[in-house]
Amino acid sequence: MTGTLGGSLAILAVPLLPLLAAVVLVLARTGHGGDRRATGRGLRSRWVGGVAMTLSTAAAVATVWWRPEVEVPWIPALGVRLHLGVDGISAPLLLMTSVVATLAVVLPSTSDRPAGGVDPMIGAGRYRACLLLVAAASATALLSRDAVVFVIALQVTLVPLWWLVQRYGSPAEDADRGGAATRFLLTSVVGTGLTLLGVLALVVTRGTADLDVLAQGVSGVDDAQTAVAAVLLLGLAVSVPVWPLHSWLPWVHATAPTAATILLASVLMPLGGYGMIRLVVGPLPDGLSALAPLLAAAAVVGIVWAGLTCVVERDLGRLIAWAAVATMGMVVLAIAAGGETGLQAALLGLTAHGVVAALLAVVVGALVDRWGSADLRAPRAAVRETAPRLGWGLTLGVAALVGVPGLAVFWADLSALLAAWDPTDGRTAGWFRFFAVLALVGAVLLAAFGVRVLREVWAGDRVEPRISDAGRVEAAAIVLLGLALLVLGVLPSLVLDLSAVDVARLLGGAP
Amino acid sequence: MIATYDLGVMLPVIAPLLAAFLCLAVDLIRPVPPVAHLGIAAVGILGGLVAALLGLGETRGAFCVDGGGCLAVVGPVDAGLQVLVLLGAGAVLALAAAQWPQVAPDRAPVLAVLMLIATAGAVALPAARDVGSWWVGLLLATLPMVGLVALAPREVPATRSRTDRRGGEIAEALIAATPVLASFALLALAGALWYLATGTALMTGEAVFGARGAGTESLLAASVVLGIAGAAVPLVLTPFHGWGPLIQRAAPGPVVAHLSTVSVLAGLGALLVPVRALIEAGAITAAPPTQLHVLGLLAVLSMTAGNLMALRQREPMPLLAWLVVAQSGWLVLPLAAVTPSSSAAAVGYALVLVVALSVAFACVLGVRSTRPAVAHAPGTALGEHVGLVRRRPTLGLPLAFALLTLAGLPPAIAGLSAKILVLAPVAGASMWWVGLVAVANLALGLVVALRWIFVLARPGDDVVPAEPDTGDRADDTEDLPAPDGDDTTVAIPATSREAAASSTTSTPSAPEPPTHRTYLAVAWIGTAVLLVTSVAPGLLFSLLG
Repeated sequence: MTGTLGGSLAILAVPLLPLLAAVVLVLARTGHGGDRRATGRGLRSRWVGGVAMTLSTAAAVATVWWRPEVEVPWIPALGVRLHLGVDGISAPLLLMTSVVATLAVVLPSTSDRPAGGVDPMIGAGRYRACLLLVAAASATALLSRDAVVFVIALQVTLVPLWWLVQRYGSPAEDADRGGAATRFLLTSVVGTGLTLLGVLALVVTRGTADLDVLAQGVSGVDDAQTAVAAVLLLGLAVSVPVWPLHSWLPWVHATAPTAATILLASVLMPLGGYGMIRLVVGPLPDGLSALAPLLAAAAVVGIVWAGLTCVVERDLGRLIAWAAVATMGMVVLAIAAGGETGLQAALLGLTAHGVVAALLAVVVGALVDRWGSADLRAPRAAVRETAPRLGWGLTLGVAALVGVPGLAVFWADLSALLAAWDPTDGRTAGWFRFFAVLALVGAVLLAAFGVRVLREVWAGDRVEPRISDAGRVEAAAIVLLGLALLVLGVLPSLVLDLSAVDVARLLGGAP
Repeated sequence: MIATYDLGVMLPVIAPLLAAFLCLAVDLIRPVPPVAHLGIAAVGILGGLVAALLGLGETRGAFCVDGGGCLAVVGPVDAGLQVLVLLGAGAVLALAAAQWPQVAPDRAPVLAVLMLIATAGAVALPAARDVGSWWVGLLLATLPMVGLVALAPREVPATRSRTDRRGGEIAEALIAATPVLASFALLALAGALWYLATGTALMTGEAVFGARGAGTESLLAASVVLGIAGAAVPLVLTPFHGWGPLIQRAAPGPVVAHLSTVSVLAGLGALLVPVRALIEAGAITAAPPTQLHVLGLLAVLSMTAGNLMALRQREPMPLLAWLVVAQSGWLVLPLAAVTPSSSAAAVGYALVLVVALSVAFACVLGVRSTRPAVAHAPGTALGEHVGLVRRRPTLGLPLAFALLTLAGLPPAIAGLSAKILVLAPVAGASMWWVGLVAVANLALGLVVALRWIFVLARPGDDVVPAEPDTGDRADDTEDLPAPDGDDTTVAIPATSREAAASSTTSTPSAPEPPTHRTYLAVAWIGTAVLLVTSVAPGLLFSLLG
């Protein structure tokens, strides 16, 4: 179907529909009125955004099925083209991010209901416009077959996300919110800036920005390749995030509004891992080889570090963020170990992590919203008793996160550990086995985290203060994401088969 | 000795000079209203612009010697830079038009002539291919600065006496004269060394080869370094930047805009002359790119110093002045790695820079022209800009977009593309230390822009009650050095952030005075250019062939 009009329309619709909806929502911001009209606006923005995102998701499915491609020159001076297409590596992530972003847009948010003296309706439209912009940009990043466009798309996500945290973050102190937002923006700008620098070095020396051509790799170890790989990994490690560049995440994660947390954890963090696969694994195999032990060490330290923090952290939002650092550490370990097993594990891990993170963000967001704070020390009613639907979601999410067999993350963690135990050629097997053992220790710590969360939040006899259970949309989101976890857990081959050919080609391209 | 003249190639230079001559002649014959001189100047710049646009995309030489090179060559990149200079001069003229009624009739022709001569010099510099044209171009471009600073009308508090004012003007003119002389002295030395090293006054790739053949490469290197230093003065590059913010604080708005756009471009033109020779020499041998570490150092120093100092500023004009220092660093960044694409990258960046700076100056001057009382009130940082996006979106929105462009963050993709353009040669040549500092400055520059954008977007009614500063500004001044000096600050009541959300319901306490049309025109034409180039960055760079 390559080149047909229908296919081109489908692939263009994936990023353009959310973009269009965002523009509509921003421009439609006229008039202002009482609460009822305000609620109406909130609903309307949900409808506009939800329809656009659903259609965009449908277009993403069609794109993955038919694999159309669109190519337009964009910045001829640099040989940069708007070349959109999808392959086995981006397909699972594209589907996952589309679904998750749709949920993020339709979830009810605090900006929908009038509260706290803020006229919420200024918010609703622009709030969803920001979410849609992030969705459009991340879809572009995943679809782009051009390295420079990938980085530009990554940068486009930053300002809307910053605005979301800054303006609609949890009702904490202004300064706290501003601090989290500004920290996010500055670290991310440095991260994407480093990525840009590395990509430009790659593009200028190789004379092309085409990811397919770049992925053929170059032969021979030279210091320049290692330097470029170092800059790229450093930049992408900020957005993944890899220890010790993770420190921005817990604060931002806990402060951002639920939908922004979903986009951050399920869309942006996987994009960082995807960037590592696309920009480093394929184009710079020798550079990665040289840096792999260092990268793996950082990842493993991150896993243990986050695992230890998870045992003592008192803020539920931050707790989930630390768990995300640990999961992403596993993904990065797999990328560093390399080989088909490693890459497949990384891709599966990114997809599964996206789903789990979204599920937990929905549940935790709902809980924190009802509790009024995320502090675990405050006495609360057991979620099991008062909000069984949320309780189910929480149990499922936590179980998946700690790697219970039959749920998606289990396969990803298992194959990551296997890949680290038997790393690809050019990696020091001894070191990687040591890392695998450490990662296992981290996984055990994470299990302790799971037990702790369930004990403190889910179990118990207290029924006061009562909280309301999940609403319809929230419940639907929990069911959908839970199903996805189960399906991926039972049939991980869905993702693995989709990506196998292209992963083999990515690695085979390197001489 | 000269075989052909080809004056047509020099038309972009000749047109402003002719207009300058016309201004003086008209004034000699019979006095005309000041606005006539403005018209003549506009026609001269427009004529030059048309001539430069016609020359785009081809390489033409003028004053060619038999068997030797030409004294002036206009390639596609040079023509692009000429177009930019003339566009910048046009914007400056438009900004000056709003203040032209305040010009004393006897000064009008002088000011017009000075502006035209400076423009002609800046247009001539990119074409210069020999030491003589280099010197003359730089002098023409910079010397009028002294007169402009001294003679242009300014908003002087009525309390100051006439003699006071005169004294201030003389002092400023003296300050302006220093960099002009220093710049020329450095360039004179550089030219002399060039002649000594290469045995020719032509500044071309062949001349560089001559020096290599004669074993005088160290002399050539000294000449290039001195040339860089000389050009760094009008470029306001650290550590040659001291005069910039000093003058820009005092000088009238349009003159500051001139110094920040036309004069900076003149510096770029002057810098390109020796660098282009090195590029030509490199292209012939196909050797790995020469790395001008000195220039890289100046670039990253300027970015860092400019951004850090901009963070401390509490008034728009000095802030813009420091922003220019930082942006000049970005402007010369690609030239640190001498590759065939370097000069085009610098000129591409200059395009975005000049448009964004013109927009910013138009907005700042537009705000200042209608709010003189607030402009000079001590108080909140950038106080006259509080809530501008809501109060006066016609000025606030372009200013915010221009600032984002200068910071290089999407949605202003034009700015990001420009940053990509200048980073590419450096990254390609593996000059990591320059690249890494530049990336850090992306974040620093963003803080500078955000701090201002926060103020623009902040809720604010027309009249803000004066009370001690509270934590309300925490988000825009956080992590910034505490501003020194001021005793009273104007703050927004703590609840007004919320009120802001619904500020569409509140009515401003007083109607805004209308903004002069030319400010709006410059701001919105520039914003339109930035928006179009954000969607299609290819357009931006197709100008350069």
